[in-house]
Amino acid sequence: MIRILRRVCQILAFLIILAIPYLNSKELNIAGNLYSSTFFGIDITDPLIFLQNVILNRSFDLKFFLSIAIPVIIALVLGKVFCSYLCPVNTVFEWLNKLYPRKNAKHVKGNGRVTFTLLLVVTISVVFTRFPIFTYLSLPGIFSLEVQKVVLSKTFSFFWLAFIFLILLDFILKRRFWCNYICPQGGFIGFLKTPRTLKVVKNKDKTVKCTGCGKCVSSCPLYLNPMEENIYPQCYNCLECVQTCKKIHKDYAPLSIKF
Amino acid sequence: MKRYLRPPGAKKDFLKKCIRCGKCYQVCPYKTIRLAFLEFGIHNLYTPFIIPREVPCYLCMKCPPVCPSGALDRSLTEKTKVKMGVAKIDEKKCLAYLGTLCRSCYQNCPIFNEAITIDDELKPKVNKDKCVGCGICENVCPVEDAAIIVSGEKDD
Repeated sequence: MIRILRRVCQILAFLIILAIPYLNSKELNIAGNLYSSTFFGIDITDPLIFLQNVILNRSFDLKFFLSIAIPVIIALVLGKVFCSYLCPVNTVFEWLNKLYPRKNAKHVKGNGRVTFTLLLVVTISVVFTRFPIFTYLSLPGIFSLEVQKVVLSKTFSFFWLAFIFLILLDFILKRRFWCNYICPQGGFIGFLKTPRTLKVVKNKDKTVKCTGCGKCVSSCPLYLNPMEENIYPQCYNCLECVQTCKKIHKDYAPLSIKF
Repeated sequence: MKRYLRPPGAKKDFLKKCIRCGKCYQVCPYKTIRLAFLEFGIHNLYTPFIIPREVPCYLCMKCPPVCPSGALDRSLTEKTKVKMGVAKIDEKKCLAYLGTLCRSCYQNCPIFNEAITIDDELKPKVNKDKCVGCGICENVCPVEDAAIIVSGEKDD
């Protein structure tokens, strides 16, 4: 069920990004992309872009502040589901990796140090250069904007070359390196976490035994190992591993979810 | 570098406040607002701009309310309060000043008979306080390399 829901969300997100330029000309009050969007008058803005704007201006207004409420609450309750359910860049990378899987790819350990250092360095750079670096590192934002530019103005910019280059890097260098380590948007919402945020856990019940089939590991789109203690902050709660485990073990699955 | 204007409602701190989401560009029904790539420098990447000689702003006022960060003043609904720049007539090029009968800018000005007036000698005059800088006059000017041009305020 969740697997189908996620696929539907991924496709819908992509279609909505494509359709928004047409929808807003129909006076529906829908506009925007993954930087910021408006749905029937409700504004939703990327929380990291908001914070950067506050750093640059040392001020913000109430409407702008309220627009980060929905993404922040979703991140606090459900984790990085934005990445796994909506982000079109993840969709592209995930599906390409499914089409062309790498045999014996090395597994990624949950570790937020690289992302955290990067966030810190870029934040300090923003303070000193007064230049909105996070804006230009936001792949979901740029991707959705460039897709809409193709729809509206029929222009292809150099971004698409850079994006193809990034896909090649993903295949040659290290699979899913952008989402796992670099992406500042995903990285930031990964740190918006409480002890009660949705997470994948191993079943503590001793009667439930993991048979070590490894199906959960191969199902992970981020090349994480769900049987390891720590898969956060990388894990984006797509729940592929839990679904795979439940399919094999029915009610006695060693992997489950917990708030 | 080419001259450009910002959408209505932009103030001096526009470049700092703009989050480059391109919503103003999306909602513009005339495709007046375009998004810069690298033609105006890296600091203008994905910021909205207007080239009035190509497509001027028709002051439909759809873009200010969709701005998420307030880089465009969201409370701006009145056309006459817009200040995107000021028009200036080049008297050496303007047909009316050269003795031909031409009232293109005067007749097309949306702040009619206020921002541009015609004096006793049938020469157009720009009233700086009333001009909103929409660029319609620059767009309709029959002289090649328009004899009336709008310059915006610098925002960086």
